[in-house]
Amino acid sequence: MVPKMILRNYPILFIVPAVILYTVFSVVPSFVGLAAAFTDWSTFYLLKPTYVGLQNFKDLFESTGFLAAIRHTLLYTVLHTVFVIALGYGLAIILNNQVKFKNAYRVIIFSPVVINPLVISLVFSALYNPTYGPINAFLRKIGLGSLAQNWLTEPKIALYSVIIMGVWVGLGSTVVIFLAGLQSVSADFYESATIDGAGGLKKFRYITLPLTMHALTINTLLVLISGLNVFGEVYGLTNGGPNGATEVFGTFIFANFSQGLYGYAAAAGLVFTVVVSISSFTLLGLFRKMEVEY
Amino acid sequence: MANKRKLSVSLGLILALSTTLAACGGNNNNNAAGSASPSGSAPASSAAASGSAAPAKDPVELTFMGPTSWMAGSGVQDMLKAYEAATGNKIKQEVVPDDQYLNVMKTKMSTNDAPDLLFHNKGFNYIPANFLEPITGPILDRIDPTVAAVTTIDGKFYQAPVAPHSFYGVIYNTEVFDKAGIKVPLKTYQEFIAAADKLLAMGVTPLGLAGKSTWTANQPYLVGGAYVFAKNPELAKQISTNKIKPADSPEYLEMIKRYVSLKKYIAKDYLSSDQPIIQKGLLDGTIAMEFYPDVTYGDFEKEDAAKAEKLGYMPFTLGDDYIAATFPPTDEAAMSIPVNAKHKAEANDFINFATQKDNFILLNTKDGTPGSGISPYKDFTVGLNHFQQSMADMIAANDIPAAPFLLGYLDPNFQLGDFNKHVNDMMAGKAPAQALDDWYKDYAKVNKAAKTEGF
Repeated sequence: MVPKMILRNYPILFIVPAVILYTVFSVVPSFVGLAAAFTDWSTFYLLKPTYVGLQNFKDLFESTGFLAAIRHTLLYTVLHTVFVIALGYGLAIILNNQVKFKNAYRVIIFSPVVINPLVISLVFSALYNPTYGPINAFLRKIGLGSLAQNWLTEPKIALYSVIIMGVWVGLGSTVVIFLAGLQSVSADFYESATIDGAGGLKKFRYITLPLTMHALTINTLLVLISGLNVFGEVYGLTNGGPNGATEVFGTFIFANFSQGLYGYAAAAGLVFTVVVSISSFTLLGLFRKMEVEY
Repeated sequence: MANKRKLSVSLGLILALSTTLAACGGNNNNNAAGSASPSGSAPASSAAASGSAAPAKDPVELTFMGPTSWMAGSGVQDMLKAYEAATGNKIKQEVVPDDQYLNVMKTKMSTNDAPDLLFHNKGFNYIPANFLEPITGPILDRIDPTVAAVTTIDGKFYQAPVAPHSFYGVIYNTEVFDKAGIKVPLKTYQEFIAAADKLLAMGVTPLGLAGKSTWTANQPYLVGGAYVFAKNPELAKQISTNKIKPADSPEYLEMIKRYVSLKKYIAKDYLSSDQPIIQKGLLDGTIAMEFYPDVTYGDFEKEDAAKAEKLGYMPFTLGDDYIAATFPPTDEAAMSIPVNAKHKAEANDFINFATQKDNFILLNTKDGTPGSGISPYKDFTVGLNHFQQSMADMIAANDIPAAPFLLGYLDPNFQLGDFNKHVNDMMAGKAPAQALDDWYKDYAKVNKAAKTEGF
């Protein structure tokens, strides 16, 4: 005879193992990281961290490297988000129509999603090679040699080169979500609008955009967060160089952690978490207001 | 006759190096040169491994930990096999990516998961003495005492060098120099600038810089800037112990300004240049000089042996009245034993084995070519390559001393932080004082974490 209390609460038993694992491997480390941010925990005295209050945060904001990493991360995030969303939305609309070979286009656009960013970085390193890379070779071939650049080693353009790769990588999943959103809009709305004499632009403005706002919301949030989280693309392509011109949050934290400054790196991680959270919740609130019920 | 002269010059060089090391040895001076690279990458699988190690009665398995790029070397692998064959002991290799090596190593030692042997750049800046077990045995009688002093504290010797010393200086194209009528050595900053102006007027790029590697820009700074500390060792001590910031020292700042002034002699696209490009320019004479370690001669020789012979190697200074043939006193490859190693006695025997002549040469053999430079051990010498011989001849003929480069004067416990960053910042246009202050903030942070005296 199984006790009544167990029978009543048996669903809880199913989730207990998952909760334990999640707690041990995610919640506890997060709290350890939070606590570490207020200590001088480092590889020099690994087992003797001492409480240092807000010193790590003070050091962080006095560090030109950290401030540069914030600037670069924000620039990367804004441009990456704008281009991925705009291009992704545009491509999804095109692919949602009756276009020849649209399945082939979908595969091509989605393919970067299944490739590791580090592998893609190697490919782009070859593309960007100033001497032998196809981009500069093409520019020279068509008589635009003056536009050939040191794409990854010129501090003024290196970050933009990384962003271009990031946009290409990010398009795939964005287009898929937009396509799902577009396909959920009933054709009846468009038929009615056509009967009422609405043109393509008006249909987009008053039907497509409002009714796919949920897709736009989720996509923008995901792209924004992935932009703030950028690491693999930068690490693989420039590792923060040249001369710190592409240093972002991720590479900054990684570099300090690699130096053995765990407390300092944890403080940077905490600031990073706060920035991502504030950005995400602000944007989520904004988009929620723009969504429509139907 | 020529051979005798070379031999005497080599011996003189060793003596000069020893004397200089003796001068700094009492202070345990050492440094970190930035990028970890296997120094004295050397030669030859043909060298037979010999050694006194007798087969072990009860064979043990020693764990040997090293960075990926070093452990992949054929010389290292051959030497490890030679040890196994000679002793019956087994070597279990723990290979860690280069950029994670020091971190992983310290973590393993701190968590009582230490290997038996460590393979690393020499210097307490890399591994503090309190992590290590003193090394004993015949090695103490064989090692040059002035070399030993650099990693000795309270009479206990902690890190055994396993690669020859090399010089850091300037590679130059002798034909281009002759054409320009430039006489070497260039003993002062003013002489160097006058020569660079002449080269520039000839349409030759005076200085090549392989800027794709972030450490290359630090070479003229480390080599040429050594005069500041050589003339005022107290300043090095004050900077190392946080009594003065580099930007607050007028002589340090002046040195830095002189360093930055070299920028006009470097090709503008240096950031996209890698070493093969600069190497080709030097061999062809389109580039006149490059600041690069002397152990790289083999790469030039491989590219074009005849043209490589036309290159010379010379010392450099940013000072007005001081020049030295500079070397990094601590940066070469070394081996040590963690304080919590499980097989300390066997690890100690291993180090004694690895530092014997044939094993040392085997260890430093790369692609069949033996390593070159100054041997840290009294009972054998290592050959000098063309660059090293060129430097040896020049300093012997001009009575130039051998001395540590800039970082060699800093306190052994001083943590450099990200030294290359402020160097590259200045090359990118940041004002010297600002770049130095940014470096200060960075190294103060690391030294605080390391609890270095004064921070």
